Amino acid sequence: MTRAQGLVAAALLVAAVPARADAPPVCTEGIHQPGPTPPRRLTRLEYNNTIRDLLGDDSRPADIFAAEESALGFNNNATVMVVSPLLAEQLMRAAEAIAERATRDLKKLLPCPSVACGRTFVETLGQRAFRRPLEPEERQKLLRLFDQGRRTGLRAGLEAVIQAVLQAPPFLYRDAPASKNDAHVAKLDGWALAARLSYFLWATMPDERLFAAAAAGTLETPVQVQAEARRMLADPRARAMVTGFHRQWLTLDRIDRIDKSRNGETKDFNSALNGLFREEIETFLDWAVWDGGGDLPTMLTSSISFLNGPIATFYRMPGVEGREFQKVAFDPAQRSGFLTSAGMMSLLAKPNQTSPILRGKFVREKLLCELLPDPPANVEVNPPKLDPKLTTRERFAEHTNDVGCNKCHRLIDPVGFGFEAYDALGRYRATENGHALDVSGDVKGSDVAGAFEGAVELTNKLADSTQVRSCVVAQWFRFAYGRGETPDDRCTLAKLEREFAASGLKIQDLLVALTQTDAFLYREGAPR
Amino acid sequence: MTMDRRTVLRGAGTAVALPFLEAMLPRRASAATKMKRPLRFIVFGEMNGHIRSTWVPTGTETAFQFSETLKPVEPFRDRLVIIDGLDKEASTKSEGPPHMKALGPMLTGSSLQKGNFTPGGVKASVGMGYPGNISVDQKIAQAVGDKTKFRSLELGVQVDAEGNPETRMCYRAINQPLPPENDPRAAYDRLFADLPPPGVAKKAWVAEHARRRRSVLDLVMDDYRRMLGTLGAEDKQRLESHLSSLREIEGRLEIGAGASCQRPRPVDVRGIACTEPDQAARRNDCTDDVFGAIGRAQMDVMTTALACDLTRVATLQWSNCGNRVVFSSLGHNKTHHDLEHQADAKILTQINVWYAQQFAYLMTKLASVKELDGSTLLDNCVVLWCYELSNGAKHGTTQMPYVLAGRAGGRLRSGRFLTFQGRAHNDLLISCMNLMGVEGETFGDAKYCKGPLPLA
Repeated sequence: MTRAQGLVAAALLVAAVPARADAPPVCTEGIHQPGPTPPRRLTRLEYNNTIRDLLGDDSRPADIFAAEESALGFNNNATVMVVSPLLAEQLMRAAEAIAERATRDLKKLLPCPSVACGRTFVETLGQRAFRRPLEPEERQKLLRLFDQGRRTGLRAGLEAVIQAVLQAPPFLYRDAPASKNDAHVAKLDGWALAARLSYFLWATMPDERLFAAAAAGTLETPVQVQAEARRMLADPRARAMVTGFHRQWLTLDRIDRIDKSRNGETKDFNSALNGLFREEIETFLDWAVWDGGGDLPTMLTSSISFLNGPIATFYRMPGVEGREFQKVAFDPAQRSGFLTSAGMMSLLAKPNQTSPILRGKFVREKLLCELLPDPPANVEVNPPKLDPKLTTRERFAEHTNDVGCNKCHRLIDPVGFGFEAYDALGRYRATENGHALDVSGDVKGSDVAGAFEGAVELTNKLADSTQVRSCVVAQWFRFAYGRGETPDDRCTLAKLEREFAASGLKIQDLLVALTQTDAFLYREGAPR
Repeated sequence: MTMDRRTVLRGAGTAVALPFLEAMLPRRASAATKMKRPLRFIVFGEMNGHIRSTWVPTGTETAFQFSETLKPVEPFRDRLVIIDGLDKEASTKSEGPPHMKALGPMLTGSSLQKGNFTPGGVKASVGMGYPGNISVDQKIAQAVGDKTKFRSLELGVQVDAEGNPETRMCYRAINQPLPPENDPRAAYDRLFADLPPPGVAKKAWVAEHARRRRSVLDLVMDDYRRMLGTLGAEDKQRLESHLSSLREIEGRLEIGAGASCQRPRPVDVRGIACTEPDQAARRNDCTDDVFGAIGRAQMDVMTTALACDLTRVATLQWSNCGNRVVFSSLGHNKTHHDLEHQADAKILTQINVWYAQQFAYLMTKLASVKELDGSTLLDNCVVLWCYELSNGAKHGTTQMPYVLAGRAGGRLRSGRFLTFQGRAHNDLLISCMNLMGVEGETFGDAKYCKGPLPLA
């Protein structure tokens, strides 16, 4: 696979030249370019999970925190997450409440009620919460705080320490630079790698095994990191992480908000379907990644899906009853991968009509990683009026006929027209208003340019597209590393694309590959 | 704060029925006002646009007739300045998606920077970012907010949780958006947190509470300070936002926990989000009855906070541009945003009137609070009512509608209808600053500024 075929990589390559005069032109062994390494604040999900694993507190205290700022489609982008006074206050009150709960029963918290046991607890908690051994100064300060608080009582001392630990930067932020590290690029130690692995693959703090490996010095080499990554993938928490990625990348949460109450065909649609639509897609993708083919083409083209009784009724799929989701096979001429699911087609439609624009735009932005310009501000962006004498394609002819509109819509509409066999609710249809459907299309200006006939052929073309692979790699890059790509990342991206292709486009292998890059194993040093 | 709070806690009867805070509004505001009535600044942020023909009053500066849209606020005629014709140049001239560039400059007077927000971009620098300035409410809060428990209060009504330039109105500094609190109950709890349990002496309790917090915060803040030294410029900016937020808390530990007010009866309206996963209730949650109830609860919380001098700067953001609110009480069955694009003047005027009624509710609340000298809280406010857009269907940002309310303690000559041509909304933001006692000839992108409007 050549990188230049991927628009993503190509754009980065061009940008790389003026960005850094001293950047090495080729990706050479021994020269490491980790890219920016911003400190990453725990997301609400990570905070909840970490508190559960650190103190056995499963009250999900972060649910009420102000939401993360989010960029490039993901809510873990470190470069935009800031702390407002409101959030700082929420973090403080959460720390106080957690500390109060944890110290309610001192017998449970401490093996013995002595000061010595208290001091051991402080040191152990500090190390686990900071995910590395405490620096001497940190230990000293926590113990001093414990001693101050102890004047009121053992409980007060422990409460103060827990409060401080849960608000301290080494707890709330991962990938914080080591204070004494002034090398420009540094390899991460086992502790830092353990935290990177656990938050990437499990969205929580390292487990005892990762900590033990870090302490023993057996989490240092790429091979050792890879072995741990493979072990962690076998855990259900990795599946939950992948589902979380899909939810954000493909905007599956928005399916919960679909409102077709203005559709008029309420006998086929009710709001209970929203959750089922999303569950169908999530279950299918989970199967595709972990149990099915495990590869990107399966996600894009399989006719397998998972339905329960109510959603099977919607699909008019006989033989499925009850609330449990079960595996079914659609007619492969009608459905192909997650794009053609009723939930996705319904999401990318208006209440009372399909939207070739939303559908074309989704493919362009989410699967091809293209940036489409906004429509001019003074254009009224209503879809053309409904007209039973015309098909949707015919109604949208103005876009294609108007030179101004056509500049962008020639890229969008012909992709969307390929999905015209799915109506506004996502039901399969052979005709529209009694007229035969024209589902031919084209993905102009991409590496799958050329005529196609219908969504099944389109999804198969997308599964073969180098540009789609590069885009999937880029989306995973953004999610895994908590930032956008930069010119410094071109070797990391090239390596990921190469390994993804070599694996036969297996998602699990891509996840492992993400732990083997400069961006994962190294960090930029402190500024000089 | 020496005033006996029992003497100030008297029900203030208003014509508008209140679910809860009625009983606790102080007849007179805090003891601070005994010396000098503090000025307060409020923003009422309405999303989407207006219909010009039903909004602009007719007549002259002082002898004017209220338009159909503004009719609900007519009872407050002598407390209003209606301002027509300003152009939101920082939006018009900005790059970016229409709603992002309309909302970002609204209170900042500054166009969008480049940034990371536009999805689908191939590299960070191609997308759009936050506006390039602090917002005017925060600029004012920097100057007047150091004596109160909260420097400012950001409240929202079903504002999208996801933070980006299309959903955030207030900025503490460049790239530091302030998320609004959408839940009136949580907002209320926050105002009146940290009061001693019944029967415990307040002063000693507050001092002890503050001492314990300070010992923890001191340790934590020291860690952040040390960490800053190891970071590059951009990372440093973000971590500084964390440190300064902690400093904000720490600096106010002893400032009155509801200085002159007793803890009132709790709010019982929750901030229901349109996305609440409860299947059965979802659709109704996005209708104007729920939307309005949350909004009025937030205005109650806001009035209480201002009356009790817990803060002097408060903003209320009504959802965001792409909102899913359906005004079913008006017979609508499409969302506000969808209707905006259909551009039916009659229907959109109905929605604008609905918002004017909410604004009138806020006026009524503010006017019901009496200060010691006989003036009302409203008299000592500058309330800025702004719209995101002018012509909603076209995402217009020229000839914007604005209303100022209150008298700024006598500094604002109200009861007027003013029209400006060739002036940018930056000048109105400068006026707001000046009225609140903050000096300055420019605000936001200086190239659009000609100086304050003649409002005094």
